Amino acid sequence: MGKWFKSGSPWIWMTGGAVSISLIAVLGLLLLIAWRGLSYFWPADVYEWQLEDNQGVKSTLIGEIYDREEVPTERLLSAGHTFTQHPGEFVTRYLVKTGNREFVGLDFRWILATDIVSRTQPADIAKLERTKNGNFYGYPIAVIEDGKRLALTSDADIESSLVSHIERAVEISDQAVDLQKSDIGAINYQIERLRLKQRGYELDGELTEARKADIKAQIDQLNKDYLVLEKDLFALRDKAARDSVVIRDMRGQEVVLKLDSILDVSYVNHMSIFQKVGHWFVGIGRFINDDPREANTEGGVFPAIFGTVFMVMLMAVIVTPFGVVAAIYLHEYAKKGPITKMIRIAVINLAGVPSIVYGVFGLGFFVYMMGGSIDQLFFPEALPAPTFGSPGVIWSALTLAILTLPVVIVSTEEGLSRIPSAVRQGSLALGATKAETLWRIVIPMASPAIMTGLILAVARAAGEVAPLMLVGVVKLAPTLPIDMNFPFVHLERKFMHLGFHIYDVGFQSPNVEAARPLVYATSFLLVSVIVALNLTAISVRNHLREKFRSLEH
Amino acid sequence: MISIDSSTMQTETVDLVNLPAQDTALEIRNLDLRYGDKQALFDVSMKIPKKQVTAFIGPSGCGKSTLLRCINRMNDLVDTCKIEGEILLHGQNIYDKKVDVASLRRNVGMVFQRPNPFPKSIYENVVYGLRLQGVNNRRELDEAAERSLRGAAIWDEVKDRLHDNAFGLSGGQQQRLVIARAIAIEPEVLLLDEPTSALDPISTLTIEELITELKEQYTVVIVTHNMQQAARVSDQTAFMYMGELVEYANTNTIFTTPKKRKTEDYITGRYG
Amino acid sequence: MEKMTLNKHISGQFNAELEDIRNRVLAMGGLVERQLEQALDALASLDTELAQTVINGDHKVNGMEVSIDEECTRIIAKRQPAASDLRMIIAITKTIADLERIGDACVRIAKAALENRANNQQPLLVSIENMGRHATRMLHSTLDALARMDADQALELHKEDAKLDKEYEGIIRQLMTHMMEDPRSIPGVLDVLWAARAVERVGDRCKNICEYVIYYVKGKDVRHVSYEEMEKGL
Repeated sequence: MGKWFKSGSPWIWMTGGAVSISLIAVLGLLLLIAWRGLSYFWPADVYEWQLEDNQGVKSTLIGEIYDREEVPTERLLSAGHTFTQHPGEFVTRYLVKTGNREFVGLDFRWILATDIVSRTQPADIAKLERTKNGNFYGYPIAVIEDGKRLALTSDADIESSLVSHIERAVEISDQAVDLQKSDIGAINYQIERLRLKQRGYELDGELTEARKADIKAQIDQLNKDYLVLEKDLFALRDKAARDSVVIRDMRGQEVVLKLDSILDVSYVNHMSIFQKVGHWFVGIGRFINDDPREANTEGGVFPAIFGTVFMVMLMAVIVTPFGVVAAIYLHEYAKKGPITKMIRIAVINLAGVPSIVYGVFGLGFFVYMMGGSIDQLFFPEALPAPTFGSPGVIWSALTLAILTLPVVIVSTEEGLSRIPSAVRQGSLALGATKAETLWRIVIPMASPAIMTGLILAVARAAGEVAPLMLVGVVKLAPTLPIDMNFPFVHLERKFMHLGFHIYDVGFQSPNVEAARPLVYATSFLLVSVIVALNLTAISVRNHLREKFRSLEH
Repeated sequence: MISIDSSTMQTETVDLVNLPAQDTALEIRNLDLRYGDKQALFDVSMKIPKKQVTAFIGPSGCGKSTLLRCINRMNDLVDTCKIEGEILLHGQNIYDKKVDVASLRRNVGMVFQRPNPFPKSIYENVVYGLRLQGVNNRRELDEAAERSLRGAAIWDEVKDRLHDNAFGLSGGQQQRLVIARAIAIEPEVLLLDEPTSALDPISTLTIEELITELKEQYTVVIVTHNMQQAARVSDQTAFMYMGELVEYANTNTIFTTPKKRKTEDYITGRYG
Repeated sequence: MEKMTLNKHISGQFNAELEDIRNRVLAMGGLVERQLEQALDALASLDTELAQTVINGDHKVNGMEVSIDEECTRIIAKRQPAASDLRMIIAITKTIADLERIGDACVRIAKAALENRANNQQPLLVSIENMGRHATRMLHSTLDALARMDADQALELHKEDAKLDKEYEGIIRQLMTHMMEDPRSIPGVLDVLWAARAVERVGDRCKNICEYVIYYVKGKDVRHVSYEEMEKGL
């Protein structure tokens, strides 16, 4: 035994064990969120249950099994539930997503296994995804085109007709949304700018009648354009709302749904596995590409992905030069003494400050002081409405830049100190000044270390949520920070962020059950985005390392 | 009959004490150097003749590298370093306040112990000094690169891969590349700080061969740990010990009949 | 130049090698000295046996020269000696060459002893013996100077050679008289002349060895230099 200890094997086992545990933890985390997140997009089977409760009341239920659990009978009994015959110690309870929110009140329902009389999986049940009120489950009976009921007899005919009509409606709706977002949005933006221009002249006392008239003429023209577009928009909307579907829901009632509110129809129960996989990919694609709906509980997260990546990149652009310059001063120019030492310690300690403190600082310093001053100096016409004086993506990026600055400084300094003095002296001996040596030799050679700093900074910044809630992130941003309206990049705008989106969906959602898989899906997406950002940076760094591999020997 | 030319038999001995000004590349006068409280050089005076190879030998820490680094003011990089005395280049004290260090270093090139190519291509390494001087004319750079690579006896080995990374070269090639880089800016004096200590014996011989060629055009000052190397390549040898210049004479004299006991002990391996 | 009491080398092996080679040179010197003494004895007593011993003993001297030479070559190749070490090796290689020549001279004297058995030239041999004793003393002192690396003694001995040359001249004159008096004695006298010549050469060789000692100690090459210059230089 003593010999075994001396041989060092326990040490190897211990260290190897530590690595394995970390690895298992990380893999477990990734697998969990990937499984939970990605399975959300899998088209689940839709069932029809015949229920009979203990009072003998019969009902029909249509929906997807969302969750199941074993409930102790005791608990049900004590909650006032009675059984005709004792079901044993535990009762299985299913959570069923029933949809049809506007008719049944709750779109999730618990049913007890003891109440189930029969369960079927009818092939002609359709799942309709809608822009409002969640999914609708039911049996499509007929398609109404422009008020006329189409003569369709077989279920297959109804299905194909429904699919084609929905496709048409979705296409028209998309056109309407495009029109609204791009053209009408642009006009509104221009009108707002003209208004601000007028207000600017007014403040400067330069608002002449001619200018006033000019602006008014422009606004009138824009309004005229707007009216035209608006007419088009309404026409499109009417066109989209032309058709409707008659569908029988689980109460046995026939409901008429307008097709302009329907996004997709799927007959899940008679889909083949390939169709399901296709459907799954389409679902993931929509999640990534679409805007959120229904208080973020439905739809996609594209603005959040965009906001996260944009903010992190903006932060990287700010923090890299700043941190590198600071590190160069500290390492190359500052005299080695107690003051430099103190600054260095302070920088390192900065990394330990809780991130919410940075948020507070960002709000107080960047948003109110800097933003407020900028508004007063450059955007007085918009006051009292703030332009830069309210939380925005630029302030978020700046706050995170300060948060991640120590990382960049420390790793850049590390890189600088690893450059052999022989190389610097070689440059100096050829008549280069210190600045020339730095610029031509030292910084290129330190670039892998700078990239390492940047990688760490990006990893930290992408996962940071708390300070952002104070300085720029919102639950729902109407516009992206980049659009087609001059000046194209709008750094003062608020933005959406995946991390905050998770928090919002998970904790602030009106519909907790519906939101839960989205939390996982969004988490998985956030991790993927961070991994993608990191991999990009790492590949750049490895390329640089290869280029400057003299450091290795 | 074979006629023997006496000049090939023995190198002309130079009178180092009364060296005329036109033959003097550098004159060191009463140089004292301190690192903080520690004195590293004590009253060193010597004249280094033009277009000859002068070697500094001595045990580790004797101040030979320090003295070499004084000549192109590399010691300026050390904060605690204080220098008294003069080093004259063209009769001008290089420690004069008016002297621009960068231009001094262009006149006095230096090659270090370990090959230290920059992480650039072979070509860019060689023209680095010229680019610093603002030369950007492609033709001019090409010519300078070829001339100095030929001068450093490495042209034939690298002419087909000028734009490859310099790290792909062997140690000896790298060192010759570094020498090429130093002579690309056409200095008058070339300082070599133990240029072969990191190289294998064959590379060492190529560098030594190169040094004897270099003295056609440049004044070479070399620091070496290898006494045989000093004996092989140098015309004058200076033996330093504990920061003092013990003996400075023609190499032949130093290696056959040194005047000072310390020199004798050192070069016969009795040091200690 | 400070006094020649050098520290030991850092390499003990090198030290031992140099010490060994020096000892072997001295041993060779001792051998040559004995050869000379015996040759002279043989000449004086016309002892053919002894003369034969001397002649037979020469191959030992030759053997030593070759082995010491090899050792010197090896040291130069391995150690690359410099300064005093280098001078020592050079001095030794030259010294052994001269010692070997002295050995040859001994053989010549011994041969003369054999030749002279028939001829009765006793009185002439006596004067050679005197000169021979002188040469023996000189060789002994030279070896002494070599052993102690004493440049001053070497310089003194260097001057001593002139006396030997004078003695040689005296013998030549004597021999010439003999030859003129009695032409029939010429072959015997010539043998004696050869022996005298050999003894004189021993003196010259000793002088050479002294020059090597001075070269080693002082680092000055004093060959073909007048005494004044030599003394001035030292």
